[in-house]
Amino acid sequence: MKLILCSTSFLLPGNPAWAELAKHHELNFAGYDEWSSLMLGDGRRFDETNALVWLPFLDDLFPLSKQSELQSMPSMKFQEALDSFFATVLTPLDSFLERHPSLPVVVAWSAADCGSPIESAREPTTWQRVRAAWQENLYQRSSQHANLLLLDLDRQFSGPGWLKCFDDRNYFTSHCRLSMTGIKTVALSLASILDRYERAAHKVLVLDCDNTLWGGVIGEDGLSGIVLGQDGLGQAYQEFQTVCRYLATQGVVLALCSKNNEEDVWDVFDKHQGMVLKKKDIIGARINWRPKAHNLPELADEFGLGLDSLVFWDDNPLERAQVKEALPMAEVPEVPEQVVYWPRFLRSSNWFSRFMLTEEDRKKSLQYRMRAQFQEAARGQADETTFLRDIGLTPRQVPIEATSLSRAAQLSTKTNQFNLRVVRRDEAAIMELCNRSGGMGFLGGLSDRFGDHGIVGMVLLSPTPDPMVGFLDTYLLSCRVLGRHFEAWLLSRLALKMREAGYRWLLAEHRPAPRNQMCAGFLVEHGLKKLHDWEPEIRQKMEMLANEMSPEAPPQTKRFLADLHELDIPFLDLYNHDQA
Amino acid sequence: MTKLSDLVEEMFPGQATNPSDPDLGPGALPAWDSLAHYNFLLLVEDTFDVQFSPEELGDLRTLGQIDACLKAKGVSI
Repeated sequence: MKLILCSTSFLLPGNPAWAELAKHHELNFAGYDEWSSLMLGDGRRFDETNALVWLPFLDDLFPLSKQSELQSMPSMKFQEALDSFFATVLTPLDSFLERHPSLPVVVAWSAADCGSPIESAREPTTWQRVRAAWQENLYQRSSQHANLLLLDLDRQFSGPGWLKCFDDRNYFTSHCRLSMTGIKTVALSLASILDRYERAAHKVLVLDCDNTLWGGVIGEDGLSGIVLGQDGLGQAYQEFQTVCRYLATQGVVLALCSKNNEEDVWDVFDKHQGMVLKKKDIIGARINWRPKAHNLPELADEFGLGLDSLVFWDDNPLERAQVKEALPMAEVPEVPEQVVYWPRFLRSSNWFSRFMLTEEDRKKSLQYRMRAQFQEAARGQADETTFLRDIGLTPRQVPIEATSLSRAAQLSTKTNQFNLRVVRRDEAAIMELCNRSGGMGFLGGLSDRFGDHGIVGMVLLSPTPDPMVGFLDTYLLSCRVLGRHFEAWLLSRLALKMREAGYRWLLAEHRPAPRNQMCAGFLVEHGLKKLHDWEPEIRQKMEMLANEMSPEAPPQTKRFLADLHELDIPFLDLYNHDQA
Repeated sequence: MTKLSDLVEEMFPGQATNPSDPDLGPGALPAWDSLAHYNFLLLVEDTFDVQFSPEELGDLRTLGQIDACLKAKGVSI
């Protein structure tokens, strides 16, 4: 937009602090104190202008001497004098609005109050009364002129702080009341308002679940283990949900996009006492193990909206970066690292803010829900490999020893989802297995451009009565790195170590457990064959060994076998800078 | 570390043949007028987290003088 900016104060045209506004708009500054003549003029300057911005500082319009004058008046006279004063001061604006009914006019004012707190302890000060009347006068006008947009700068200045936004030195040396911080704040606020004038608000808030709506991983920690609703962090998650629910009352559609077992998530909604959000607040959901960049377009389709209507909120920087890269139209905020800052961050954001909220807006959710139900079956596919190649996946093999043993036991105890057998091993059992002749075990650590994820995987191999065959006792991966194909790298390390130790065969099984469905297909997808697909002679021999190694395996257990010399593991090119 | 010449480039992109010239100041470039100079000094303050007194705002005319003033305020540039 081409803007004309005028003010009662000097605005320091060309100051770099205006950059945020200048990024999207052409700024034309009127001369110092030229505001009234500009607005009362013949209007030719506005022929090719898209908006007028007026920045009155009440200090300029209503100096201290005027306040003293009013202060001494009886109450009735005071109000009369004030009305008359505003009628005069706002005449240029009224005239302009009458003559330019379709040109956007932003009045961005400051009436910052620097008085002592003692003065207003018993009754409002003159300044407070002037300020209130000023605001009332302006909002009265905005109700009559749809093109008048108001910006109370003092609300915005309260963020960085009044003392940082104003600079009396600048005022006395250049007639500019603001500091660079103040100008930056004005520029950002104006940019927000003008952006909304040109572009509709976002409509859908898509939320992750684990470590977003609650602390912890429901699939790992269970209903009683997640952090929600108690003091401290639990309260912060709850407060975040409260803000989400408030937004829902303002017509924002809430949706979920989470890598989880669907029933686990709904269990939290149904059963956890700390949940502020209820199932009925959620209009659409994609709870599965597919890339979120696949799920979000489906959600948008369900609602009949473009991706630019979506705000995707996820605590995980990898998920955010993947979505950002794959779906640049969607808004993906870089949320604060600490959840305690989320409620205010979300509440003070611009994404969903509108100039006006109608009853119709509030009813939108119902329409979206109906459409979502209709569209639910339509889901697409996408490929994440290109992205993963670019994020510098750096794996490391960590030996199981005194310093890492407790983490190994912790992984065995806590990992529920990507855990092939869910056989819990304590420290002693892990060490015993590693020290057994032919036994081996190691941990996997992973880092990438988002940081070091720490030790996130564990492999334990048990020897069998056949020295050529190793039995996969434990194979698990923490949820925090899912989606990076780290499991492929771990398997490749195991295969390498086994070959070096003289093994030829890897025998493995998947024992179904309440939460480990996600790794049911892992072994076949990574080069192992189902045992019953092998020749009868091999199959029978391996079946006997497996029964010996895993006598308590439940009937639904599936067994797999790989010839280590033929094992072809996919996705290893993602780890071609392997440092292990 | 940000240098004064970086700020010259930010304020007057591509205009100074030698943005490190200590004699650069108002009048040295067509766009470097008194208002641009004031804005430049505020940018220096903002970048190096210092505050110039009203007198300094009037006295600091060249990059060399600004550099010396910053050093006197303990800024290492």
